Amino acid sequence: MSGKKYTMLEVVNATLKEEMRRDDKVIYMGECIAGSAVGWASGVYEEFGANRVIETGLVENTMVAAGIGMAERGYRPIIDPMMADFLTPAYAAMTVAGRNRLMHGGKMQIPMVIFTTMGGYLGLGPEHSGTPETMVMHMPGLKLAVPSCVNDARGLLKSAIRDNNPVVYFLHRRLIGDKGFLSEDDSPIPFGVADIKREGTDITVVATGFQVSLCLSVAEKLAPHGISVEVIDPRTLVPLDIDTVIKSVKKTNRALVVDEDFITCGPGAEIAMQIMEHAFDWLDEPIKRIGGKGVVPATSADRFALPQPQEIADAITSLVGAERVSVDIASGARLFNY
Amino acid sequence: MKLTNDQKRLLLDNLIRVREVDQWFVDALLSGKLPLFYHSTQIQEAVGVGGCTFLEEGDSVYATHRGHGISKLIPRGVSIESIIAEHYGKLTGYCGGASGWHPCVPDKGFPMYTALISENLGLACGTAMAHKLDGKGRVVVSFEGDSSAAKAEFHEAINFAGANKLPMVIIIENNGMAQITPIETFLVNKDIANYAKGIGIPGVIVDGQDVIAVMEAVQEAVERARNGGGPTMIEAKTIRLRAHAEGVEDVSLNAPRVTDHEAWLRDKDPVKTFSAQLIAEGVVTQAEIGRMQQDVREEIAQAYEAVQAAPGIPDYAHLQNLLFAD
Repeated sequence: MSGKKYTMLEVVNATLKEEMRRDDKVIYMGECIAGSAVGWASGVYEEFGANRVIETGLVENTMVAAGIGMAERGYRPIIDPMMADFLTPAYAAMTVAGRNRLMHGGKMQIPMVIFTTMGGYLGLGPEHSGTPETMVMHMPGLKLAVPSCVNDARGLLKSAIRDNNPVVYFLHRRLIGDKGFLSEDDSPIPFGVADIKREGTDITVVATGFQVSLCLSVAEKLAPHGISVEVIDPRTLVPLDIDTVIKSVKKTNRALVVDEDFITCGPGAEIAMQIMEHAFDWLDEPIKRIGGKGVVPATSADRFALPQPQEIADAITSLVGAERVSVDIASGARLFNY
Repeated sequence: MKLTNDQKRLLLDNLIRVREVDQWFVDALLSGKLPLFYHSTQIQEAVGVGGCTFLEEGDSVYATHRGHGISKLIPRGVSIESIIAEHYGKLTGYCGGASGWHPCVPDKGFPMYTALISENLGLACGTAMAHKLDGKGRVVVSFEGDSSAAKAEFHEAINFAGANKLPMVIIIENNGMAQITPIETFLVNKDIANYAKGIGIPGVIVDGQDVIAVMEAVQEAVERARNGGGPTMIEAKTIRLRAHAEGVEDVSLNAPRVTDHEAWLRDKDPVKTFSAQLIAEGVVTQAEIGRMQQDVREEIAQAYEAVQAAPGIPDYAHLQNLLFAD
């Protein structure tokens, strides 16, 4: 890691263009992409034209379904419904994408990416703040990438576009303006390989998306108090690299799972249960999980609905048996402007 | 399209082959020989046969659940053995037994199929978009039933096809029944082709019992699509002879469905009416028709025997390996 810092927006935009130059079967299709209304699509239409960049209007179900039809014919569509919340009317098509290959005896492949943004902390309201990771994880046949930093955003997007299966790629909106370093190695980052974002010995914290940076900030604040936190980012929830998590839990003997999706049946529930299945005898404390509360975020109410740094810190100190530490970290409310 | 006598005989042979396979499935299910369900397509065969018999290689078709797609699959050369095998979960089925009856036969022009009503229209838009980008003049013919017209996906997908001038023909097989729900319960506008006008594409109504009328309407729409003229909706008015699925009561809402069963079989059965027409024209003889029936019955019997001997899905690992491509 060296040199200039880039925003996730710049990196994703550059990666999209790079992949579209590399393979002319890559088609970018979705809503409000031709006019570059969304920053990550800036200049893509101008460079590749109407046959490679297809403006669909707000037809979320049809754009995903059409992506499947195109992928079966050898194209590699990137389908962009702008926001993960807008995938709810597309879930029918997403279930088809997931089960198509299996139910047709493996006779086809669906190299398609559903590429969109997710997440809260920006006060965008109850239907523009969703993190519907579970919706994807639950459906067999879909892969799910949730990058937490600039470098992972690049490497995972390359893998997503080159994968021969339907991949859902959720970019966290709270992160897309953040700057970060790129590694010199710009090769694709393989799916199913977790990254240990911070090494530690007292507790394993598994987090995804924006929660990774919250957990890293919390870990930083707890370090002077003698608490050593290991932060693991699975990077892809499907496939899930549970081995790296288990190895860490066997070292730290404590686990906290932090995720932004609704806590009921959320990714945290799945990961916590897999830790139980594989490392129960190594646990000194019951696993804790933090997730989106069972209410939807609303403008100026994100702080009540979504995981908060102090909540994460409290869970960690209680698990390691330390005194409460006031961390004083802001979680959101960056002015959001595409 | 002016048909030769051979082409007329081909249409009749396809009608007969579909009818005989349908009857075999009905008998197999009712006698307990077939493990899952079956949705008969009897006297509706002309819509699929007329719509598919003269498509070209490379054209794509999306079928429906009625007859489990046989009125489309059989005219395009999908083998009867692979159809029966699929129903028995055998590896020799068109999807290696993994689909039950959801056809994906790419080499015969069936890209995939979903049983979610109207969802095939969106998939078909993608296939049509690929054909358009490929620029080789290939088209998609996508079938749905009348129940489709009440769903959001129907309007969204057909509008998308129109807005993008996709090479697509949408055929609505309107039999007036959505399982046990009659069409007047869920549609104000029972002439579904009118929705095409609302969207801004051509909409045509044809007699779905008349295989020639269906064929001509489809071929005209296919030519328009091939030449960049965009999609057409064809509504084929037809009737459902039997219950929604075999073995269930034929009801409309909560009462037995009132049908004109005998009159339909006498006047509306395309196998019967088209046979009579071709005999009158001197294109076929009754004896030739009998031979067509005999031939397909023998083919079915041999197919069933082969299916019995074929291997089934071996284990869970086999399915697990199918989930993701490398």
